[in-house]
Amino acid sequence: MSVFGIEQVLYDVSVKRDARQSFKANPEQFLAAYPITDAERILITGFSMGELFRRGASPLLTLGFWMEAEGSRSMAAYLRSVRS
Amino acid sequence: MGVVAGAFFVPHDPLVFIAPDAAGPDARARVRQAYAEVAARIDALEPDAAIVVGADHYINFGPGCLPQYLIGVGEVCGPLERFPGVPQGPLASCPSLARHIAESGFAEGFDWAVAKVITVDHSIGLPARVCLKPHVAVIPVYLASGVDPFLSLRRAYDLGSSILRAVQSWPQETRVVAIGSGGLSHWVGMPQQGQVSPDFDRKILGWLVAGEAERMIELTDAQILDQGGNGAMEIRNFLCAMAMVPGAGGTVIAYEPVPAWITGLGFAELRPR
Repeated sequence: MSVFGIEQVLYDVSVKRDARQSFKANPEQFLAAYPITDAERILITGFSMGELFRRGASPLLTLGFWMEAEGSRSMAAYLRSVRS
Repeated sequence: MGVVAGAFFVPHDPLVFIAPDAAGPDARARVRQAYAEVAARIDALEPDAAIVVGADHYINFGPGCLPQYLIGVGEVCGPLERFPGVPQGPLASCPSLARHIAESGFAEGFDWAVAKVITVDHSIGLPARVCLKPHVAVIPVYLASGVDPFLSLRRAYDLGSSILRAVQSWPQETRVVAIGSGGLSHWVGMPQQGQVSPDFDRKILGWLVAGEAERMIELTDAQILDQGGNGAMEIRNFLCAMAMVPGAGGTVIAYEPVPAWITGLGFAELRPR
């Protein structure tokens, strides 16, 4: 698997309302359709932005995904995560 | 024939509009005034159309398709995002001139991606709404300057030259302005977010108003990323617009480094001599 699968998840959840709702309703079921590994799935559901960024995910997508899906919409919390 | 009457360079920082109070009142006032000044100078040129060069931010274009450069040749709406006080919906467009630009480019070896209908994001939508009167037709041009693989700096400039030739070969009397949207230094979504680089920004603005495109083109992406952040890759949009007014002289209208808005905000004009 590759960062591209991760980016597709982040993009879909960021910009597509249906995808975002599906992800929030049942993340595991939603993510099962994507070419990502178990480890990547855990990073995404755990909102591990720092590790996703270090794996090459676009920061535009890590930021968008956080703001649309994490729940807090907190920029401060996002920055703590991406810096961790 | 068509003529490019001038080129302008403005930021498209959403925080200016969605978090105005994050910045101090003086900086806020100066940035608002800078936008107003750009709008007034554009209006004084009496343009029929504006070619607005921007960067998609993984909004319109996802991992499934990332054009190196795209032009809207039909209906244009925007911005996609909601900003207080900024209208959304249809924008004035000029499909015939936009199509002419695309087809002129095809003949020269520029294989444009085209959108027959597009709702532009803030990078084009904010300048269009804030800097242009509603009757001015918007011709949106997206460059791969926000998401990798990035359009090369050289190609961005050469594309602007192609656009200029197309405008000049347009048989109708049409006044056009170019708007290069973006920058300057900003680290979007990166751990360094909030950092701005006045030294880098002033260097870019200096080259811009001196018409020294080659100095910008000589930068490597590693240098740009290091000195100005991923957001500074948007200087490609500046280069494209600069190429539409070759040999022009310019002025910096304003420069405001605002960490609270995570961006060094630069405004400039190039006017053909």
